[in-house]
Amino acid sequence: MIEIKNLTKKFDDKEILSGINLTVKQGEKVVIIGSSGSGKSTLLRCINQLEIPTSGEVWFGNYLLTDVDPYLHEEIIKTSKTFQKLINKNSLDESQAIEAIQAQKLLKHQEGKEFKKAVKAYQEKYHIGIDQARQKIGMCFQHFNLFNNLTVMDNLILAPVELKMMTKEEAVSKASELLKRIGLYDKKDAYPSKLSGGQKQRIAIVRSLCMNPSVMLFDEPTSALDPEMVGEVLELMKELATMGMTMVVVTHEMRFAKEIANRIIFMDEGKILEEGTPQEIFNNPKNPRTKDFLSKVL
Amino acid sequence: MKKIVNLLIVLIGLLGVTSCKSETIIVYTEAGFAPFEYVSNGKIVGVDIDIMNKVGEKLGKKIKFENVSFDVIIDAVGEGKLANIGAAGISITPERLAKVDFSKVYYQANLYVIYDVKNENALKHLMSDGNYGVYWSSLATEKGIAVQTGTTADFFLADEVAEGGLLEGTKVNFFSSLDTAVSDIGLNSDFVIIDELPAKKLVEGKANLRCLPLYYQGENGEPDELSFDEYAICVTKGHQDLLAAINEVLDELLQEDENGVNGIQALVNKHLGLN
Amino acid sequence: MNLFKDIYKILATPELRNYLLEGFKNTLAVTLIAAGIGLVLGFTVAIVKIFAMDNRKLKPFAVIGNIYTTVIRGTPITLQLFIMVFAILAIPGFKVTAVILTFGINSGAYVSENIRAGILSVDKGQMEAGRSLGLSKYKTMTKIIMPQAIKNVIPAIGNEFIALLKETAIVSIVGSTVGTLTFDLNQATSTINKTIANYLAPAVLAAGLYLGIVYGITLLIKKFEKRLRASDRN
Repeated sequence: MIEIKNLTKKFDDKEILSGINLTVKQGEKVVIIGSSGSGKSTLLRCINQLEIPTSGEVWFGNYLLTDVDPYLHEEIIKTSKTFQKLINKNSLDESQAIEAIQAQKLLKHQEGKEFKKAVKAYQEKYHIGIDQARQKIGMCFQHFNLFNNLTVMDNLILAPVELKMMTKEEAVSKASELLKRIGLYDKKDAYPSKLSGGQKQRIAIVRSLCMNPSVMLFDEPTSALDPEMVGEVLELMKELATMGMTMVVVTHEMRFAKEIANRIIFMDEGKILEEGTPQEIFNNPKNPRTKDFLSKVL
Repeated sequence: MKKIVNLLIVLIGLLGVTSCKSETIIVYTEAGFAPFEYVSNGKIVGVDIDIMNKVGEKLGKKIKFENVSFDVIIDAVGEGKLANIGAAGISITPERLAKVDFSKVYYQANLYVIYDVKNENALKHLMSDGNYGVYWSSLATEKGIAVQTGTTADFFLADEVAEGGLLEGTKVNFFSSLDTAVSDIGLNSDFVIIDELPAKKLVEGKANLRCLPLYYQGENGEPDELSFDEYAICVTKGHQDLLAAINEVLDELLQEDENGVNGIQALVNKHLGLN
Repeated sequence: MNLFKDIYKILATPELRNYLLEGFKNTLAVTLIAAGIGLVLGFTVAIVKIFAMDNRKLKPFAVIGNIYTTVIRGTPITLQLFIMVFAILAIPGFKVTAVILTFGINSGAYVSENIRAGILSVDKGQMEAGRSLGLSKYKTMTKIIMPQAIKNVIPAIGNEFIALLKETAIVSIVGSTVGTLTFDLNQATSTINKTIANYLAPAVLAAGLYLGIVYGITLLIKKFEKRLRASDRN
C-alpha cells in the first residue's frame, strides 16, 4: 500500500532523514518508535507530503506522490547525457555506469532533452495529485487540529461534502453513526473549544474516518493528552486496528505498540536501525542503540 | 547620587523658568507670508520679524518667534498663556478686537489677484487711476478661486461669493498654505487672491503667472476703487507695556525719510531685495 | 465663559451650524469610501501575497504588492496627497477623486498587512488538517483559515479606520472647496474660526463630532467581534 524508496529529507544542510526504505502492506499496523529528533514524525509527514522529501520516492498503491527521482529508475538514467558520457568517453559498461551514477549522485541539472522527456513521461504516467491522494490517507495529529470555527458535526462533514464524495445528508448520517459509536453524539453541535483533549482526539480520528481512508497515519496521538484521557484514545485506535485498518503510528506508548503492532520500526538520527515484530524488538533487540532506548522507556 | 541628580534637575529647571520669564518674549507668526514673514536659510525672517526685534531691543528682552498655523494666532494671543504677541500681517476685524488688542495700523496692502498669463487679455483693464488692474467682477469663473483661510482676501471673497455679491456662486478653494494655493491654478482654481507683496513674491520666477491689483468698478463715472487690507500687531489684553512699546517702535518706523519712504516701506523693500 | 458662549453661538447660527454639519457629513463620507477602497485593495494584496508563498507563478504580483505596501507605509500621507492631487491625477475636476483614492490606497497598505498577519497567525495545524483531508489550499483557506483570521484581524482594521478618519483632516493642504467632499470637518473649523474669531469653540465641537464617529466605529467593531467569538466561548 505504501512504499518509501530511498527517502532523504534535508532542512537547510541538516539531514533529518537518510535513505529510508519502508513498505507498509494492506492491513499492517506499523509502529515507529525512537527518541525525539530521530526523524520519525518527519517520516510520517513525508508519507502524505506535509513534508516534501529532498530526494527519493513515496508510492501510494500504484501512484507516485512525490516527484520522480531519476536515481531510482535505470531506464531514465540511461537517457541522461552523463550516462552517455560515461559509456562513450570513460568506456564503462552499462551496469558500471548506472552504479557509479547512483552511488556518487552524478546527475546534473541539465541532462538533455531525452532525459527531460523520460522524466516527464514517467511523471505523467504514475503521478497523482496530492489533494486527491490525501482523500484516502487519513492523518491524526498530536494537537488534534479540529477546525475551531466549526461545530463537531461540521468538522466531520466538511471534507466529504466539499469534495463531493457524499451529499450532505449522507455525510451527516455517516458522521452521526460514528459519533454514536464513540459516545459523543451529544457533542455534535459543540465547538472544539468546549471539548476535552481526549474528546477532541477521538473526534479528530472520526473526522478522518468519514473520508473512508485506506490508511491512517497517527503522529503521536496521545502525547498531548492528560494521562486519564490517553486510554480512551488508545481504545479507539485498537478498535480501528481490529477492524482491519492499515495504520502507521508514531508513538511513545510502548504498551500500545506491543498490543497492536505487527511491525515495530526503531529510528535513530534519521535512519531505520532495526525492524521486527514486537516480540523481536521488545524482547530481543539486536542493535545496541535499540537496547539503550528501550531500557530508558520501558 | 540620586539626590544630587534631582537637585541639579531642579536647579536647571528654575534657571530655565526664571530666564524664560524675565528674558524672552514669545511672538507667534505664520512664516508663509513674504516679505512680512518667511523662511530663509532655515530661519524665520521678514518685516514683522524686524519690527519685533526692535521692540525687543527697546524692552531689553529677547524675542523668540514661533511658527504656527494662522488660525490659532488670535486665540492663543487672546488667551495669553503661550504667547502675548502675534505679528503675521494680521488685519483688524471686530471679532478679533473682542479678543485681543491691536497696535496701530502700520501697513496698508492692496489685494491682488494671481492669474495664468493666458487669461491676461480677458482680465487686464486700465483703471481710472491710470494703473492696470482687474475688476472683481471679471473673476467669475467655472473653476474656483483659491485663498488662504483666514486672510483678508478670504473675507473679501466670502462677501463677494455670497448672495448679492459680485461673484455670487463662484467656488472658493481654501488652502492652508499660499504656495499650494498657487499650484492649484489651472487645476481646480483659476485665481489666487492675496495681498500685494506676497502675490508679487509668489509669481516671481514663474513665467506663466502674473498678478495685478483688484478694483471695485466705479459706477456712473465714479472712480474705480482698490480693495485693501491693513496690518496691525495683536497683543494680549492687559499688557499695556507691550502694546506701548510696539506702538512706539511703529511710530518711529512710520517717519518718512527725505525721499518720502517710511521705515516700514524701507524694510519691505529690503526683504523684496529692492535695495 | 466665553467658550460656552461661542459654542452656543455656533450651534444657534444656521450658517455656522451648517458648516459643521457639512464638514461632518463630508468627513464621514470620505472616510467610509476610502475605508471601502482600503478593504478591497488590502484584502486583494494580502491574498496575493499569501498564495504567492507556494505558487511561483504569482511571485511577480507578490513583488508588486510588496512595493506597494513598503512605499505607501514608508512615506508620509501628506506627500502622497500632494503627489496624487498635483501630479498623478492633476486633472481639473478630479480633486475629490484624487483625495479619496489617496486615502483609500494609503489605508489599503496598512489593512493588507493587518490581514496578512491575521491569516498567518492562525495555527499552522489548521491548514495541515484541512490539507490532510484532501481539501485544496483554496478550500482550506476559505472555509477554515479565513473565518478564523477575521477574528484576529477585526481589532486591527478597526484601529486603522479610526486612524484613517483622523488622517482625513489634512485634506485642506491640497485645497478644500465648499460644496465638495473636500470640505471636511477640520476645514469647517477653520471657516467658522474666520467668522467668529474663535478657534477653540468650533474645534471643541468638531472634536466632539470626530469622537462620535470613533465611538460609533468602536461599537460596530465590538458587536462584530462578539458575534464572531461565539465559537470561542468556553
